[in-house]
Amino acid sequence: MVILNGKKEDFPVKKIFIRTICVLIGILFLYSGILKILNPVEFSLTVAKYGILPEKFINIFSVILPFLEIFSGFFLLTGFFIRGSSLTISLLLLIFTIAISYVTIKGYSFECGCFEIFGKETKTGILLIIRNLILLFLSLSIFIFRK
Amino acid sequence: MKKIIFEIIIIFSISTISGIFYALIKKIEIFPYDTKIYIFSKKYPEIKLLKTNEFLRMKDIIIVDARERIFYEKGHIKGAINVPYDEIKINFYDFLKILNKDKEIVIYCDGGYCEASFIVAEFLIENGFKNISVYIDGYPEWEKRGLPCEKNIY
Repeated sequence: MVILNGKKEDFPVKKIFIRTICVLIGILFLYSGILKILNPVEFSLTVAKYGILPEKFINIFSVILPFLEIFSGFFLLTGFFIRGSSLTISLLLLIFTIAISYVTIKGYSFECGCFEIFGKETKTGILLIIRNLILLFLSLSIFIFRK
Repeated sequence: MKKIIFEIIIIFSISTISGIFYALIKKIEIFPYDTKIYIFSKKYPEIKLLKTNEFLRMKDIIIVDARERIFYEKGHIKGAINVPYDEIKINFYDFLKILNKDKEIVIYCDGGYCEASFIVAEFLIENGFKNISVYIDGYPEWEKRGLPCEKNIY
């Protein structure tokens, strides 16, 4: 914080930092949502592998979740609804982390259905949980510091 | 606080509406009767899904039991070969010797939601097999109807 004319103002570095995280997470979620919606069958198979959702709800979940990622990523990127979309992303990340922890505890390891990096997808496990927790921390920091 | 709730409601509503529209356009069943079978059959449309009556009508076929060895030994459809889904990748060449690419292959497991048939079917298709069917009612239905079964007794 710097104090100018008796008013507290955000230090620009913090603003730039938050904006950078917004863009990065926005691009990440937009990309992962688009990948999922392009292959709905693959994605629904992965959702089925987690074995958490009742069979009936797998398809509806597999078509709505990618759009949630796409829209919240898009809003973060463009700067609209930043707090709402960062909270949505945090909520999604929390759900993903719980789901991945559940299968990891059960001893399963398969491609997580998150997003591909250089054509390779991360497998479920401790590393993925840590990655998700870092992303969760970043998206929550957007929600907390962005006014 | 109200603003955040409003924003979240907007994001969830747009996503739900887009998702449902997308499903309608792509002809994805939103609440399918049998999801696993549905998604597998969408992935591999060439796999035929057979009910008991259709299965009984088929002739000159190879019947494959995709369940684990222990269940196969307890009882299986008469004449079925055991290709356990958990062993197919390890012992693939042995199974390849038994299976004939020109014949129709019918795979079954426990029926209903069992995945084993589809795992074996998927693997066979990836390895060049073309005439693959899955008997979706599975062994429990076969046994219930009193159709010919056999056991491996040691």
